[in-house]
Amino acid sequence: MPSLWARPNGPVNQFAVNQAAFNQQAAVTPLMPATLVLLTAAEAVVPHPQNSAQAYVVPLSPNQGNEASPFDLVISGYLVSTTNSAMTFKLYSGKSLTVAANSLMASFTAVTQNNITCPFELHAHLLYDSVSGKMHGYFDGMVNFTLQAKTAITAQTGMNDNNNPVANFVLSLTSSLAAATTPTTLVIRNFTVG
Amino acid sequence: MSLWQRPNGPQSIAASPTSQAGLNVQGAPVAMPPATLVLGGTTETVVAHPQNSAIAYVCILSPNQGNEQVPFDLVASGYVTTTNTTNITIKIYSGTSLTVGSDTLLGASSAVAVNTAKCPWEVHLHLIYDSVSGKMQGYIEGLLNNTLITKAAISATLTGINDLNNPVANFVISCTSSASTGPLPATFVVKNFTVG
Repeated sequence: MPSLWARPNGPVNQFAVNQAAFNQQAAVTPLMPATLVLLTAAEAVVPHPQNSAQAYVVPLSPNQGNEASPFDLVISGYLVSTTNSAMTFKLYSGKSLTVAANSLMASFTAVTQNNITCPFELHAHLLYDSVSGKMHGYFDGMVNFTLQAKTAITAQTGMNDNNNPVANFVLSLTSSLAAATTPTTLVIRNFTVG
Repeated sequence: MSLWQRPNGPQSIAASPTSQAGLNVQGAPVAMPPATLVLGGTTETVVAHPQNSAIAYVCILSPNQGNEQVPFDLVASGYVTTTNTTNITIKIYSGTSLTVGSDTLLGASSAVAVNTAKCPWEVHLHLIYDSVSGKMQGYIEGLLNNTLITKAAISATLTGINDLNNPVANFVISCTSSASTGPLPATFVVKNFTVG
C-alpha cells in the first residue's frame, strides 16, 4: 500500500513509454526521480526528468473533492552537498522554469548542510474554494533533521475547482555556495498533491 | 477523495424523493448539502442542519470503528463571506444542541478579521479516547483567512466515553461575527464536517 504521503496527483509522464505490447495489460510507468544539479548559487526551478526544457510541474486536477476541503502537497527526496552550503527551498504556484514567472507560495527557512547527504520532506497543507477564489494554507517540513516551523503560505487567487488544472506547483532550490567544483544535487522521489 | 474527508459525518434527515432510488435502480447515499449559517447579528450561533433548521448540524462519531485507543481526526471546512468590517470566530463543541450553553467547548479560532471578503477556513481536531479511562483528549489547529489557529490542547477532556456507546460522541460547530447586522450579514458555509 502506498504511503499516505504519496498523494493522488503528480507530475505527468512526458513520453509514451508506457505502451503495452499486444495482448498485454497496460501498466503505468512510474515517473523517474527528478534531479537538479546546482553549479552556481543561483535559485533554480527543478526541471522535468524527461525534458530539461520544462519544469517538473505537479498539476492539481479539478473536481477531485478538494473544493472547500483541505488537501496536502508533499515533496520528498534527498540532498547531496559538497560544501558548507545553505539550502533554501521555495514552493511556487506556476509551471515555469523561470523563477520570476511563478507565484511564490512558501519560502522555507535556509538550512546549512556541510558536505552531507540527507533526506528532506516539504509539506504544504492547502485549502481553496471557488466562491472566494482563494487558496490558503500552511507549510512545514524537515531538511537535514531541522524542522520547518508551521507558517502560513502566501495566499493565491483565481482558484476554481472547474479549472483544469486547478493549480500547478513547482519547486526551486538555492544552494548558497554551490559551484562547478562543489555542486549540490537535489533528488525528488515524491512530488504529489491531493 | 482527500484524506481530510473522514468516514463519519452528519446524517441526512429527510426521506425526500431525491434520496429514494427508483424501481430496479441501485440505491446510493445522497450527498449532504452544505450547511449555511447566515449571521444577522453578533450572537454566537451553532450551525443548523441544512435539512431542518430546528436541530443542530451534528457530526456523529459511530462506535466500534477502530478508533478505540487509536487517534482519529475531525475536519470541518468551507468558506465564509462577510459584507462589512468584522471579526470571525469559529468554535467546535461536543454536543448536539443549537443552544451554545448546552454544548461543551472543545476549541476555538481567535477572532480573525474578515473585512468585506470571502475566504476559506478549516478546523482540525486530532483526538484520541479509550473506554478504560473513559476520556477523550486531543488538540485543535486550523486556518481562517490564512491565519493559523495555533495547535493547542482541546479546552476540555470529555469523560464518559465508551467505544460501545452509539454514538461515541457528537460534535457541533458555531460561528460568531463581531459586527454583523441584518443589512450587513456574514454567511458561514460548512462543506465538509467529518470525523474518523
